[in-house]
Amino acid sequence: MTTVLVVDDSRLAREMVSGAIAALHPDWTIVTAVDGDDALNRLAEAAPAAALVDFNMPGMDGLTLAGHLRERMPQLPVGILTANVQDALRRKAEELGCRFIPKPVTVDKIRTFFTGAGL
Amino acid sequence: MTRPDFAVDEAAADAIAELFNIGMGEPAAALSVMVGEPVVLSVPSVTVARRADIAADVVPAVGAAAPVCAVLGSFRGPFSGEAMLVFPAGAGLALVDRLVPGGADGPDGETARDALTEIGNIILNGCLASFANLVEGEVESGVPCYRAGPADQVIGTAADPVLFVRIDMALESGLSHGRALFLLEIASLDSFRDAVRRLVGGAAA
Repeated sequence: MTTVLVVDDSRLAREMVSGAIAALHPDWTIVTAVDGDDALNRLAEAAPAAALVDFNMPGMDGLTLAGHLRERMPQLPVGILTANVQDALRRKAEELGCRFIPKPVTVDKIRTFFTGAGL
Repeated sequence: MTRPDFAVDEAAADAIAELFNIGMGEPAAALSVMVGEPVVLSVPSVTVARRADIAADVVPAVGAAAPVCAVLGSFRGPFSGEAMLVFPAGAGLALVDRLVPGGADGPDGETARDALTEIGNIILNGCLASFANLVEGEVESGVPCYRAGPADQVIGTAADPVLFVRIDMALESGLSHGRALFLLEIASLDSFRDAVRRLVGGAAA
């Protein structure tokens, strides 16, 4: 069973991302978390095959969380979801080996991320 | 002005915050190119407060008399209301000086007025345009106007509570910072909910 971790403080955003994943892979398990700490706590539930992480969250931002996720699971594909389409942020995400996924999320963007992650 | 509908539940507030979060992305990137450095945005908050409190909070240490530079405009659509980009005066002039080196001519000067009106136009109308596209609606916005003066004179002192979205923005270097405020009257919460439903459905389609 493939599990995907979705981390966003906005319920609307979690629903949009989860909806896109479910449209592509109805049989996958989606674990959602509301912030970075919640996400790290949920890793024990099931090891995710990929993580989709919002950048702009209260507390730990998405890049910091991506760093923590990578420490624990160095091969984990991480997509950084953000409306903040500035080149500086894109560069930081790519330096961490993360995919940069501009919001709003669409099925095509999620499909491209999974394909790039070999899923 | 009609009384805002305060029957905004947590799900609606969350959706409003996320739509403005997405809406600010492109205009912040445009500003970032103009100033040549990253622009840092806060997580949007959706709150009910009085204008007087909003004014007093621009420079909390000084309060409602704090000098500010602001660009203000009204808009109508799935949301109607007033959009404002407010800078503490010093921070606003620092931004002007970055855009027009040596040109900051005081809060009432022509250069400050021109430069900040243009920034306000990019940020406020850019955000409202993205927002309109997201909900597949149309938001009409007027030409924004520039005002400088004490925060309470610029933002107002009305004691009626208003629903507003707040997003703080800052240049990464710390040179300047300001705040985008969208004071909302929700014309039709139902049409807004329909728009959100379409959006969630569209992402899954």
